[in-house]
Order: sequence, then structure tokens, then C-alpha cells
Amino acid sequence: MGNTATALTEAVYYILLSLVEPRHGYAIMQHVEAMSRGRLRISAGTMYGALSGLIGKGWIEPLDSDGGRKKEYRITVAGREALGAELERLRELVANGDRLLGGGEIYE
Amino acid sequence: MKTKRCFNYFTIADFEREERWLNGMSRRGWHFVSTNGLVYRFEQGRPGEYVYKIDLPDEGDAAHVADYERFLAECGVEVVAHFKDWVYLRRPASEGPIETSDNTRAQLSLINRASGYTADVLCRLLCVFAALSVVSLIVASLLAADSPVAEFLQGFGVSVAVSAMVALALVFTPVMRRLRRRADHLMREMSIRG
Repeated sequence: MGNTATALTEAVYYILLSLVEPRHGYAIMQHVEAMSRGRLRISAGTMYGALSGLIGKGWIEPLDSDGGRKKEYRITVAGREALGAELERLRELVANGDRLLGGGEIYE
Repeated sequence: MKTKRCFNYFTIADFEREERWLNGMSRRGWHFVSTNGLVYRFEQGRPGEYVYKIDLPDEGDAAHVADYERFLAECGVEVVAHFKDWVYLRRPASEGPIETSDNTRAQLSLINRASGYTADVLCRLLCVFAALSVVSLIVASLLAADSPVAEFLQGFGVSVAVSAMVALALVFTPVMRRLRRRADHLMREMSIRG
């Protein structure tokens, strides 16, 4: 799909990963924080902007909510493709790093 | 509940310093509740109960203010106060910081919005003063040329335009320059750490 030109931001990568299952905004924030073991905390404002940007790109979609409940989102096929391309790019980074630094021993 | 008012002034380029000040007040037990840009009102409470963040929702979000604020509320963030287009957010400190403090991308995007906002304010003010001087010149031209009112309006029209432009330049140039320097710094940072 030729969408490999640029890297995803860390926040977007983790938001997309979180939306493999339907989640609302706050649940995404908690999930991202848990996945990154507390390292990455996305503010609600940043999250709001990111979600509307991702909906605009067609990478995620809001699920029909019945009025008062929190709005949930889910990744789309296009979003999964973008995530797959990013994973491929990350693998390349890690493989090259491993190869040239001797498989991580350097971190010892 | 005990309240107090503090006088303080921050330019648009100083919103990060303003945020640090509010957080410092909160650590001493004074929790910010409202401002009109000069007077800040605080309520006394448990020291360090909240963390504050100042935000400027982007234009697109501002169009859905209700939706944006509902989303924040769902995320446990309270919109404490509004001032112009700015919002003052807080959440209990026990839930940790509102955002990772070294989030360069988020900081840069906020600085960019602040710069755009500053340019917007400047343009609007220039328009107001330009309109004022044009109106006074038009009114002057409609009056008899030797009338003292026409003379006053002619002088007034021109002097208002000139002095307003000088004043605006003096006030806005340092603010915009500092915002740009901050943006440059963050951009340099981001070219190393995405």
C-alpha cells in the first residue's frame, strides 16, 4: 500500500494498537500507559486531537454509541495496514541495530 | 471555603511560566479557580491536590467545544476556567501528571497554536485601529474642510493609526520572537528525538 514513507508517532502507534479492541478515550490512555509501563502518558487534549486526525485519515472509526455512554473507537482495515507497515519499519530498525551492535549485548 | 485573589500578568509567550506558577500555588494549598487575565482567584485546599495544565484547543476542536470538554471529563480532566480561547485544566495529582513532561511534540504543537493565536490577535487589533482611522478620515472629509471637528478627526485618524501600529509592534514583537525561539528550540529537539 506504499504507506511506509514516514514513521508514526509513538502516541499514534500505541493508540492504534489499543484500538485493535474497541475502547473509549480514557481506556486508550490507560492502556497506552500500561503497555509502556508508565513511560508514555498522553494528555486528554493530545488524545482528542489524535483521535479526530485518525478518524479523518480513515484509520479508526467511532462506534455507534447510545447517547450518554462514552464514545468508543475501533481500528479500521486501513488503520491495520498502516500499523502493519509501521511494524515492518520498526523490525528493520531493530534488525539493523541488533546486527551492528551485536544483538543487544552492548546494553549489558 | 477560604479564597484569595492574586494579581499577576503573563504574556501569551509566558503560558508555561504561568502554568508553573499555578502548580506552585497548588502545591502550597491554593487551587486556581478563575482568572480575567490579571486577577487570579484561588481556593484553599489540601496542598498538592491537583496538577494544572494550560491548553489552547486548536480551531477545529474549538468548533466542538462541548464535545472536547465532554471528552476531557471522560478522561478525568476538569476544565476549571476559560480565558479568551485558553482553557485551564486540572486533575487530581494522585492520578499523575496530565502529560509526560518531555513530550516535545505536544509542546511544539501548543507553541505553534499559541503563535497562530498571537498573530490572530495582532491582526484583529490592527483591523480595529485601521477601521477607526479610516472612519474618522471619512467623517472628516464629509465635513467642511475648515471646521475644527474635521481638523481634529484628520489629525486623530492619522495619529491613531500610526501610534497604534507602533504600540502593537512594540508589544507583539518580543512576544512573537520568544514564541518562535521556543518553537525553534523544540523543533531542533524533535529532529533528534521524535
